[in-house]
Amino acid sequence: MKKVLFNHAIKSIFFLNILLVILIVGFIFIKGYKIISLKFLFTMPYNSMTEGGIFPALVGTFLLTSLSIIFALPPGVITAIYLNEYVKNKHLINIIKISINTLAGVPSVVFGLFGFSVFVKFFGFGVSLLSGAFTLSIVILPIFISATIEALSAVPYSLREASMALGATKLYTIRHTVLPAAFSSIMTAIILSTGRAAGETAPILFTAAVFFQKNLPDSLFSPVMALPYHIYALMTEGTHPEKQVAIAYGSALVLIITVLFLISLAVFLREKRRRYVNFKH
Amino acid sequence: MYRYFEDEIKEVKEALLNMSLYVEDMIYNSVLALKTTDTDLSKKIIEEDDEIDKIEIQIDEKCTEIIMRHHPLARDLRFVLATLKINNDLERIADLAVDIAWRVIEISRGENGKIAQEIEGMGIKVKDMLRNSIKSLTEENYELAKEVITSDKEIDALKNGIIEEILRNTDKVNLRKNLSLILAVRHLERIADHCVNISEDVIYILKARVVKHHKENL
Amino acid sequence: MLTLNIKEELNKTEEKTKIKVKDLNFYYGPKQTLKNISMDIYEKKVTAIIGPSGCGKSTFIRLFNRMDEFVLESKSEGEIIIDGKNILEKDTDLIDLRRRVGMVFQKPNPFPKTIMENIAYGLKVNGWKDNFQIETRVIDSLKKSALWEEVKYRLKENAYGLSGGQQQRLCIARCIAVRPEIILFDEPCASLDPISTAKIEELIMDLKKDYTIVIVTHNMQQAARISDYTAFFLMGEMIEYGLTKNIFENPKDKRTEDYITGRFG
Repeated sequence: MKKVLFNHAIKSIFFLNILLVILIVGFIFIKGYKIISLKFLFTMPYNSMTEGGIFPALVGTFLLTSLSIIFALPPGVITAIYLNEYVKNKHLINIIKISINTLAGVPSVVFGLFGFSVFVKFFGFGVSLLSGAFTLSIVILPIFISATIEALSAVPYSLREASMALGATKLYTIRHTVLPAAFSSIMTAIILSTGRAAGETAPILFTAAVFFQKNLPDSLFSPVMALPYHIYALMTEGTHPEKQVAIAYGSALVLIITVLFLISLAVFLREKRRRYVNFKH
Repeated sequence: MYRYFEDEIKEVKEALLNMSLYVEDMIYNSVLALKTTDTDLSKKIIEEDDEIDKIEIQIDEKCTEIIMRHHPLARDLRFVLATLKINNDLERIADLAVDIAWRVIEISRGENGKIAQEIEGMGIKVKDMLRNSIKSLTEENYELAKEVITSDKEIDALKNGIIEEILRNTDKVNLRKNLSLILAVRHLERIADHCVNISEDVIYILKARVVKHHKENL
Repeated sequence: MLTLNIKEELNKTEEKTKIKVKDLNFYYGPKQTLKNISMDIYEKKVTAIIGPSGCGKSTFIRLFNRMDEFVLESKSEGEIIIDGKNILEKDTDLIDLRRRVGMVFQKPNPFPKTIMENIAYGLKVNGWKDNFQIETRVIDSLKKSALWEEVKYRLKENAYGLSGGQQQRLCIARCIAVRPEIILFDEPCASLDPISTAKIEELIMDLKKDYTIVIVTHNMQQAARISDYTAFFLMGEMIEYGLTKNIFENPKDKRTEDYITGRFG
């Protein structure tokens, strides 16, 4: 009886979750779908942002996200490899893993303040693409490292053994066996991080994003517009809410679709890999 | 693994064949020595027996090894078990040939005449029986094995005839000598019995049928 | 005067020692897993190591190509001399050692790469560059491991598409591609069906001509079938070592007899 009750509880929570997702996406969709068109996506805003599209915000988000991934990738992969393959002291690994998880749980506005004081002020990058990308890369680094460690440790030990037994060095084994075998999982980690980076508002609030910009950014040191901030700005500081709210919902829909698309891509890749390589031999 | 197992079985088969050829020669030589009262040939036969004993042990060991290594089953199991027995029969046949050689030494003086010739004829028949029984194994020939078993009656008749004849010609002077001759005939007949045993084992290998003591199963 | 074709190779005594183990002790943390083991392993023979689980047999052969390197908190004492050199010494060139002493593992562990790449892996580790040479060696290894006929049209396919038995033969091919002198088999048939097992065993018998083989197995019948020498291990000790024939027909030690007759424990 208890078991049945428990099952029902789990089931209802599960459906509640799905319902919530559908509600949110549906709400935004209904509010925003009307305004979306190619023109909306690819024109500059004008008339003090009451008309026109979201092109600069889209470009800004794209640049911020890709740069932050580029900055986060090398240190993330190297850290994960070091932790998973080289560190033999289990206590040290645990301490570092706990630190990473804590870092992942820090509110993103704190990262934003950190980025502001370090990149904007200390290094003097100003409110710019570069500062924003660095800050975002710090936000996604912990998630990325955890996911990569996961990916590496999913590669069975027997493959490493096989490689070593053929006389390969540790480095050769990692380069030619472990990384290729973990490649698709690492790809998944990258895509998930991209989704996170694209959606973050707080870290770019003080470091990169501006309310309005006439032109597209022309250097790493120019400030940019970004989708999440664009929405925030329209909703809070808009002077013509009747028109701007619709644009904000349109932007939100674009953002949410982009993120959902990235996440589905990650899931798809993971499933594909599962079918392709079954490690459970 | 099967390839290696096959090789070993083949090895044993060849060893058995070689041994039987050798034993055949011993049989033939023993009746020849009997006819010509050739004691040198007899001594040679007696010496050769040591060689046969060695081969017998080798084949035994090889069979043990096959059982140990391969755990043979079904036909292969029957083959190995029967080989052990055939091996034993062959060794016994060699012993009987040696016994005949001893009889030759006992009657080393004088001619044996017509009787010796008849014994030689019987010896050749027995030798052929041995050849056929081994041939039925190597060729897996059931009919031939059956033939060997049925030809045993013929040998028995031959034996009885020869013994009758020896008894008819026996007097006080040649009693000792004729006794040896009778024994030699008995030895030959025993060899034929061993040949029958071999053929029965061959049938056991080929048909998994026990015809020993059950001639109706033939 | 009479010649029989019965091979007497097992009765020969002038074997050439390939691996000499002297007073070997191995500790895993505070636990001693190998105790005072001394034995000679002969060239171009199959030496089987049998014993119940946890008797240290795997640990033992993993020392021959120094796979213990990856075991934390382990310590070894004594000597393992291969071709006159103690490979337990610190200055041993492990890369070269592992080229000379190949290993096939309990579970088939091909790389998630193509069949071709799998076998070429060891060659590339050793710095082979010429594609034609690599390909020649790959084909040669596949033929020697009796896999060529089954995979000759699918060299560019992923090795995970092969059956378990084929994968294990692929691992053997991968191992012999670098032309080792010694091949260690760590329960190579533990995860295979009887037919695949028979194929692997036959392959091991074929390989005996060119390689010194050490095989760990908990399958006594397997040891009896394929090995020339057998060592029986129990709780980290070597109880008995000798010709397979002697061990299985006439074991000297009661514990050996109990184990091989199934009266163990």
